[in-house]
Amino acid sequence: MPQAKGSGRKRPPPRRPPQRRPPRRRRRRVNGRRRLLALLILSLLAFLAISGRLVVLQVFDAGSLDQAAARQRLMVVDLPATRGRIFDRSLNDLALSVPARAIWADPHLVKDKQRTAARLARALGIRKKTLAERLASRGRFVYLARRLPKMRGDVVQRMNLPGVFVQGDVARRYPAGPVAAQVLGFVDVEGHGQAGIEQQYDGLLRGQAGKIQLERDPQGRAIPQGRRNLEPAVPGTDLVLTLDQHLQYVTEQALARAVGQHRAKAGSVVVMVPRTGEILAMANMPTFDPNRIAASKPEARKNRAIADMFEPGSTNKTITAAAALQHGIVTPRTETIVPDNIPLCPEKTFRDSHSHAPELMTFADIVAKSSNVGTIMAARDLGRDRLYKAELDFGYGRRSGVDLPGESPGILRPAQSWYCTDLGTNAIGQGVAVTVLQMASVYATVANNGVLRAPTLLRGTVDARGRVAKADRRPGRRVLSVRTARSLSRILEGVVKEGGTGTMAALEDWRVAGKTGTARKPDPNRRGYLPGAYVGSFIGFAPAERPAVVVAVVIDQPTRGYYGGSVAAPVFKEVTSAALRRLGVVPTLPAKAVR
Amino acid sequence: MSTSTARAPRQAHRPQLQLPRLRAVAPISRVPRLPFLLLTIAAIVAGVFGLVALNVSVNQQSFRISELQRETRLAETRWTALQADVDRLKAPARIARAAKEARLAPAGRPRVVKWPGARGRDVASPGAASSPAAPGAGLARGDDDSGWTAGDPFPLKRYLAEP
Repeated sequence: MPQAKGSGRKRPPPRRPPQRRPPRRRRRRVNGRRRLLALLILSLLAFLAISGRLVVLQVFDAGSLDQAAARQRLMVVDLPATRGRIFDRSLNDLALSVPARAIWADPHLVKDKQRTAARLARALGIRKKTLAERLASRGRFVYLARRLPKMRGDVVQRMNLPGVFVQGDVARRYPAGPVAAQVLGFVDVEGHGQAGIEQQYDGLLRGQAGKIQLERDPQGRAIPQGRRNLEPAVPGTDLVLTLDQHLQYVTEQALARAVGQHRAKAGSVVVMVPRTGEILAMANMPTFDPNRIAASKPEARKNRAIADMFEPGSTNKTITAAAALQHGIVTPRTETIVPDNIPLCPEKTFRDSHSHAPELMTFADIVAKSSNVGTIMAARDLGRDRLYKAELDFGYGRRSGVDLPGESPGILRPAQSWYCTDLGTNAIGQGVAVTVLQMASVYATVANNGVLRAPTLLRGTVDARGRVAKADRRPGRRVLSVRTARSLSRILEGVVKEGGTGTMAALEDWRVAGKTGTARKPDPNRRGYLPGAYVGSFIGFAPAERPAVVVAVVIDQPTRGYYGGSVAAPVFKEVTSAALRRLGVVPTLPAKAVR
Repeated sequence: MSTSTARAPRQAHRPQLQLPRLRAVAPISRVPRLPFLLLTIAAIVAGVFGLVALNVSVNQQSFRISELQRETRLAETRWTALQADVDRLKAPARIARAAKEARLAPAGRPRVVKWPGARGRDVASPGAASSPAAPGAGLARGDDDSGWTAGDPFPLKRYLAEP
């Protein structure tokens, strides 16, 4: 009950106005709402920020981040393809790739460069100065040595030198050393063919590199049960050549002896199977060891048998004779009085190598005795165009198509541009330039009953799955009739018989047909010939009645004797004898063969 | 007094509670939880151990495979190195040198004896009329009938080509 004012009772102390409490509660409520709102907004903003970031990470940057993660977690190891092997025809290794080691360094990580270089020099057999220069490089990667034997790599590995690393490498090895060096060629540091068969069939030999993707642990080690994607390397295709390693060696030895004995500048020998055009041996001097390519000279690396041209000289008389026989100008028994000179043009008289009184000679004698005058007389009757066509038909002036790089086409001037003297010079093999292989092809054509087979070095291939494929053979081209070829073969047999110029090429067990050649060397710097410089050659085949092998020998610039019959014919004899034995050809001279 | 008098009518108006009749029941038997717990733990532990063992086994196989692959690579490397050694030893120059040191002479001229009644051939069988260093002479006849594709000259090559 309310009490009346002005009563005598003591007034209680004034209370706080009761109305002040509700406003305080309201503010608190308002503040709470604001906080909640702020919190909500903040949460929303945070959520939006996180969502936005997620969108950025998951949508926009997803690709690059995924790759970055993969880079961090996965490693890709290249799997180099094993380069194909090169075999001879009996499947002896001529070239193969073997595992090796490469030493590389990160110069920034090498602590004491001089000491490191000194220690490596002892282990690697490389000069300390060379290694120190390489270690002074500013890059982060420098090779110190490549294609080292595995054992040397292991030695360096055990040294545990800071900043020096060992990795796998592949070295190309030629087990027989210099045997067939110019034919096989060589590879560069990266394993790419740079010459010869290695270059010609680089695409086949190289194969296809593969790679493997592995998951790795933080220490960089592959996790065995981790993810791995393998793209296997495809090994290169193996090549089976037509060469015979043993015969190649024998040929090179015989050639080296002749070049040394006659103090010649160089020499080449080609051994071919006339029926197929397969090359059994192709030797050149000087030569080199493809295992030590850095130590070789450029002139030793050249395959002279296909790259160098020479004037064939009297060996070219075979073409003149073939054309004359083919066109019925002469027969082997056609008799002619042959003087020792013939004035073909007003300003040019051709002479025989030896002066003699006019002789009655058969055409076979003219070839056997290599009479320039007699041959030019036949060529005069034959005519310019027919002689030119014969040379063209035998493959002069164009590449033979052998599967080697750097082949020279030779030089054969068109008949329309011949001077008056060119009929005579061409008839006796001057003024025209050919390779040894071209000349071997000419005689192979005669030996093969008039059919020219393109020379080849590839017998077949074996791919990575072991599938064997025979090499394609181009069809032969008939150049001479069988009758002409046989007549010519009999004429050429006379060359190695008594009275011929090539008696030193005669074999005891087989009949031989061939031709000597002695030509002057053109002066490369001016018109005319080098004084006292000759090319001696002998090209022939055996057994004459059923030829199994053609051998062309050319000795360049011999200084002790220069006639083809004395410097080249003995090489022919040695090589042909070895080849026929190697081929298992039964002797065809029964009286001497059976004792 | 007045208070008690005031309460009395309330008690009087309180309705009679119908209490349920109490009866004796059998004591509830408590199932022991420990075996169940132990069994569950054992199952979980066994499962975990099983999974771990399986994983370990799989990983062991992976390691084994890795190890075998490494051994295969090493064996291939060794084979290639040995092949290179064999090729080097087979090189004609080395054989010629060794033969010279052993005072061996090159084979002389071929001797061919024709058996009476035998039909003549222009090509001898390998080795019959050639030097001792003529294995494979039959291969060198040149044409495609030499049989060089016969047999399996590249078993390792074929093996390496398999994935």
